[in-house]
Amino acid sequence: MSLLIMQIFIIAICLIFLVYIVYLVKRKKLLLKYSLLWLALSVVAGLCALFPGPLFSLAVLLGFETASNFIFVIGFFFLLAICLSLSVIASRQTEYIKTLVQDLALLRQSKEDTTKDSGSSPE
Amino acid sequence: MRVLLIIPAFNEEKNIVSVVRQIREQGYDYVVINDGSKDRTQEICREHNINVINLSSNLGIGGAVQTGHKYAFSNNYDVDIQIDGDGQHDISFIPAMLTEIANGADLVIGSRFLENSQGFKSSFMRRVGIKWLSGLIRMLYKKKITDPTSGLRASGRRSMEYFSSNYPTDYPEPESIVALLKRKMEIREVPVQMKARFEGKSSITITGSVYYMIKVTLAMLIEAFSRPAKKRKK
Repeated sequence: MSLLIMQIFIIAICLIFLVYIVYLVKRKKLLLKYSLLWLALSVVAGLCALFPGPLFSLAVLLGFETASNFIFVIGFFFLLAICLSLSVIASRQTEYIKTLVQDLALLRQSKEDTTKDSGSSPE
Repeated sequence: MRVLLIIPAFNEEKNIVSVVRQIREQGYDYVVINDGSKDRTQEICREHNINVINLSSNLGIGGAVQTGHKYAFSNNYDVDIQIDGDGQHDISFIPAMLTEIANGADLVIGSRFLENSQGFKSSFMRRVGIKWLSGLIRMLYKKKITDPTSGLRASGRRSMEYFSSNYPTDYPEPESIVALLKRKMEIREVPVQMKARFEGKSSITITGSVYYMIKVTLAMLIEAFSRPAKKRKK
């Protein structure tokens, strides 16, 4: 009985999470390409709650004493993967911003040059 | 040969005018890259009619120097010479560097450690670090670079083009040497004399130097052992 309550509880959380992700994408607060991972997470977690059988047998197969340990380990690695991907995104954006700052500065400088050359202000 | 001097400047309000004055006296073209200075560098450059590019935020030495390479490349300079904005570098060594570029070098480094170099040679610990980086380069490419961290460097057209699109951010000199050697470019050194700084602090602190060594070593190894990205689109 208590398992059933837990299943319903987790499925409800997954559904709310799923709806919230879609809402964020719709409101353009989250890019679609970054939402896929989170959508996948909520779907997989929901499926595990619906059909817990395979999860338990997989935990036993891999030598985990309890299924909950197995879930914690998976969750931990999943979060690590997401953190790494955030570092990758941050690095890429650093590169974009660097190029942007440089090109802006060069553009501004060349614009000043042409106004000088037009003879309005003597050296 | 059209020559441009690139002067990266971060909070150099005390030094920049005298550095530029010396350069003007010698008649070189120059550009100051103001790397988002918090002091009055920008205003002082404007007051003294100094040719300056103002970066809107602080990109670090690599980002600033790369801006200079981009400027030199798109304005069709044949050689650009990176020179510190703090007065450490003596521009009287520039003709010797230009001679080497004219003789076919892609990058000429002003070295403090060739047999006939004199003057300010940095602290003992700093020299140990430089020896290590130098040894690493020799191990990787069998090429003797006595002063891989020198910030006084002349780039020819080929290295200028490469640096315009690929230049490391933080402590770029040793890593960029590896990148050029890997692409079979010719690097030479000429003896130079450097002065201790006029004013202000060096960008490398003692606490940061271990971190620096680890990071630069790692960057050099990764650069050396990764496959060259052929014509990667930006």
